[in-house]
Amino acid sequence: MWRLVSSGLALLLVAQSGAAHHSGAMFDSQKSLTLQGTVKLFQWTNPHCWIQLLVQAPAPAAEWSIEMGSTGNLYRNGWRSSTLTAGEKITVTLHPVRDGTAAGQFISATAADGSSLGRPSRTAPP
Amino acid sequence: MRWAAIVWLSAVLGASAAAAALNSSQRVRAFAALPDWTGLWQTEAARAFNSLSGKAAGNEYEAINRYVQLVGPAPYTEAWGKKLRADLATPAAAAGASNAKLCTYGFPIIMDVFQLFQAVVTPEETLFVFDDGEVRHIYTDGRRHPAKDDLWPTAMGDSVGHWQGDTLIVDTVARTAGSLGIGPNTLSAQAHFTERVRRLDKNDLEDQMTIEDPTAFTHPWKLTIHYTRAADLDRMLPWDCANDRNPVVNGKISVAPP
Amino acid sequence: MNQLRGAIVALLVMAALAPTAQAALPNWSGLWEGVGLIPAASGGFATPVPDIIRDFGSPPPYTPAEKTKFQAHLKAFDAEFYSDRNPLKPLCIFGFPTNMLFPIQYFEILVTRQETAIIHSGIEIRHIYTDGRAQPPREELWPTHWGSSVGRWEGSTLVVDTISAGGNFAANVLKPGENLVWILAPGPQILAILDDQAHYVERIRMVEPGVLEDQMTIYDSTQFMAPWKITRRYQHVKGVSRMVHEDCEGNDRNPIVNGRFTLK
Repeated sequence: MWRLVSSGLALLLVAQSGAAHHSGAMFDSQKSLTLQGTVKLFQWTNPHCWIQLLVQAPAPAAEWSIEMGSTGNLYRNGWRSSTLTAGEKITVTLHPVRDGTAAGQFISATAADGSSLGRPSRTAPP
Repeated sequence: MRWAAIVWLSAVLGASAAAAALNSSQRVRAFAALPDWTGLWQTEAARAFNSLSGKAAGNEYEAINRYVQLVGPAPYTEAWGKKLRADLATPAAAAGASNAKLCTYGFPIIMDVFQLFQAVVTPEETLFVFDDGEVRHIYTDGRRHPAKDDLWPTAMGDSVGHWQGDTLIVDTVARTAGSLGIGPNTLSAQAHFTERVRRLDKNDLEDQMTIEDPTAFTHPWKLTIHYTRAADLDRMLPWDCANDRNPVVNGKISVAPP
Repeated sequence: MNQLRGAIVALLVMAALAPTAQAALPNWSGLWEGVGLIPAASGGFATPVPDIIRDFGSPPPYTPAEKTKFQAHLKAFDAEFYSDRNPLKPLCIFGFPTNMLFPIQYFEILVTRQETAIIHSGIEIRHIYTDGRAQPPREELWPTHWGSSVGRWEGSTLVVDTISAGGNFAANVLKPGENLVWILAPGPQILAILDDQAHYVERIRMVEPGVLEDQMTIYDSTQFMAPWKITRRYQHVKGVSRMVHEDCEGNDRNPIVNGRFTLK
């Protein structure tokens, strides 16, 4: 019984943990959304990198905050601080936040012409 | 010719004296006897979560439960288990019960989560140096744990160790009581940790950890944590919380504007 | 014959003293603090800040125009420092070069063949790679609190080259890439604001038993009339034989309320 309870509690505690930057509880992992927009800002920071994306459609126009991994995650997966620049047009797929604000968790992104971003990753999958 | 030799010797010895901090031959021999644990090491959790999104494939919670052993079931006594369930009964109580911090993990969970580390092995101590700035110091100079008056609970506890061949035996006490930081588990102030750390081959390191907690556990909790070398990196990439945009608002994690 | 014997003895002795890779490296083990920079139990340094600055003796060689800009920047910075947008507050990070020039925390130096790591008693670590590598190319770098450091040994002197040191901040006043040289004191006392284009060269050596010295030169051709030359010495910490790391998260009772530090 305790083993089952323990697993359930693990799910709860990750959501509530003070290590908030590691929890995806606020994003709806059952939904995904694809947006086309213009990069306003690419934050190469920790604990997360962020893309600020100006999206005109679907209306209303909004500035979306898209959360990515750490600088280490991105670097190891072929991205650099120069991979995105302000003014660049990209297409991003994300899990939106549950509360409806213009924010989401990164799933994937391509340049406007569909080509991939960053360099080929050298990391081995688990 | 003899005078030339004497001048040479004087020059060499003089140079040595000036560089008074040169390693003694004893220290050099001690270094040579130590194993080489060079490299950047990662857990399976770190590998699984190493993506552009920072998340593992599939369900995040299932991934954490799968890769992070220390969130798994612990051998609690009935009394401790009852108290734990009560402490975690509501989200507010759970958040209050957690001593999780914003940006550091502490021991033992730091050995089992997402941060890469390197092991610096010297005759006096072995250090596990993590990419978030946390460091474990394991003193191998023969000392014991400090006297009671000189010891206080910290997130990392106090570690001393000794070598058995190429295996480092670590003994840790005085870890701050409470939550492990991720997951539901907690430990008392009496928790005592023993580890056997060794390099299996060029790309694999292993930590056999035993946690004894006479207050919380019915018997010791044994885990084996496996690390692989991050062959794609040749330098430490620092990680911090300088741009944390996930404040907790009204009990919910949110996204703050830039 | 005596001369030949003497020469052979000399050669044998020289061979015996010829350094292995590790033997050639100095032993800088132990815990170090700044000379004249003992922290006080009340927080901050025991030595008054004006005395620290006077003894420091090396003001940054700003051009007149840059000095005016710096002073204006300072005024704006002050307001931001006492806000929740100050990223330094929860981290207790001082960054390089402050953590070498005005170390409020003690540190240890781990010297190995591949790198020398300087580990401070907070959560700051400098990795100085001495395996012969060059600095990474610019596109592989971004500003970090400690920069990117490579080094080489000249005898028992470690010569360190550091670039790309700057806070990876997102705050308004401290821009990404900006870097502070500051002293922990009410104020705070900021001596210079550099950016991630600054270039740092250090010569670190033991000048006498138990005394290390860092001769640092900071190159910033945008702001300075000449390279900024600084010397800081360190001594062993007395009465402490182990490193116990600090963070600012355990019991931070100084929330910022309405732009002011408070006590709760």
